[in-house]
Amino acid sequence: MKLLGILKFFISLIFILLFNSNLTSQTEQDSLITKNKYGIRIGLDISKQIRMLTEEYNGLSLYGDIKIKERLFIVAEVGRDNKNINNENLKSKFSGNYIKTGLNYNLYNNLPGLNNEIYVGFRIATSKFESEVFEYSIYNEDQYWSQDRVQENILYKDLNANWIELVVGFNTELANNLFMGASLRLNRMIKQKEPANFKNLFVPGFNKVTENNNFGTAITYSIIYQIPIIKK
Amino acid sequence: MNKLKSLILVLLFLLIACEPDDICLDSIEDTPKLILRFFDKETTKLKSVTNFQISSLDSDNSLFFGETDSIAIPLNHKVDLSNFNFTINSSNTNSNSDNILINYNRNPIYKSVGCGYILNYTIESLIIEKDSNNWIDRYNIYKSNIENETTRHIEIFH
Repeated sequence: MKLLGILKFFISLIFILLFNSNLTSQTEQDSLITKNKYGIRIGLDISKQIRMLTEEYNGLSLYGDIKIKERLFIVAEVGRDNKNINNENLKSKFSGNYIKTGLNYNLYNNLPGLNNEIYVGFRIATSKFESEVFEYSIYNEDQYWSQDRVQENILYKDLNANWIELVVGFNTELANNLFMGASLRLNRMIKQKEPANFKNLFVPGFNKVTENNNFGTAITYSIIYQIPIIKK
Repeated sequence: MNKLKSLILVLLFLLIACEPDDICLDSIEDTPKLILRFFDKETTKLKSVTNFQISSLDSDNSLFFGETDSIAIPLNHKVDLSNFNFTINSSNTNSNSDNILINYNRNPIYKSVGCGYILNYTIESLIIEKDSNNWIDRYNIYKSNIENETTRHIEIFH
């Protein structure tokens, strides 16, 4: 549940940014020539690395975007997730790759020369993955026999999922060309291939999948670097 | 900007509201038991057993039935073989025990995070060990697939 703490921290960060919009506007800007930066930005979602410390999880997520209009960015994200789901009935693992593409629209009115964003956006995402069950318990109300778990390795290959994400987040320029950003995502599953005798409890990129529910949520916390190619 | 604020509030609410449900609901059926019914070996009509006791080499528990012509017993979900000792008139001096071996295939079926898996069984064979005085005359596998408890699976004639 440490993740929840981290989550709360970033949520408060977003709120601070939202409700004290003036905070980010205090930088002195004397220059009359305003340079709007265009170019490719690349980033790393370090919330994955934070998760690796607190959960049986490892993963990597790379971020890339390019500004195509004053307020509009094309975004792509690729990554890999390996997540163990262990509970009283099950020991299992989900691993695979995903790719997401979409747009961010910046709602924030920057002072000239600043490059901060508070954005809304969407992603279209797809994931290819596999799941593996190592141990499971048998639901038996009767306690006549020992209730030990059954140990049996079952591998489910060639699973996939497609979903869309609604994104709200911010990116703020910490230093020249270096940004920090966080986002909240609401995911809506469109289609998923499940094995006949198991469920996708976790989908790489989508995060946790709850039963009889097409929605999921996720957070990201990214460090982004702008490769300065074009300056207008 | 107000729209954005409400959107974030909605997202926050969903983050809290979408906690997974890890409890096993009562409406989900557990692993079905083996249903046995007892018949008269001559008339083939239902015939009760009295003071009927079931024990097994692999379990410390025993089951007891006063007088019944129908019992439901769990199979051992860890292995493909269950052994039982069926004793009739267990409290009397004329008690009689027969050993029964049931061989089956186990088919796990995933239910939910909260319940885990259940098993369905397919009975392969049933062996009644011969002794000097078997009370069981013969048996019949009426339904080899154990998927529910609505009907008998094995008929015992005595």
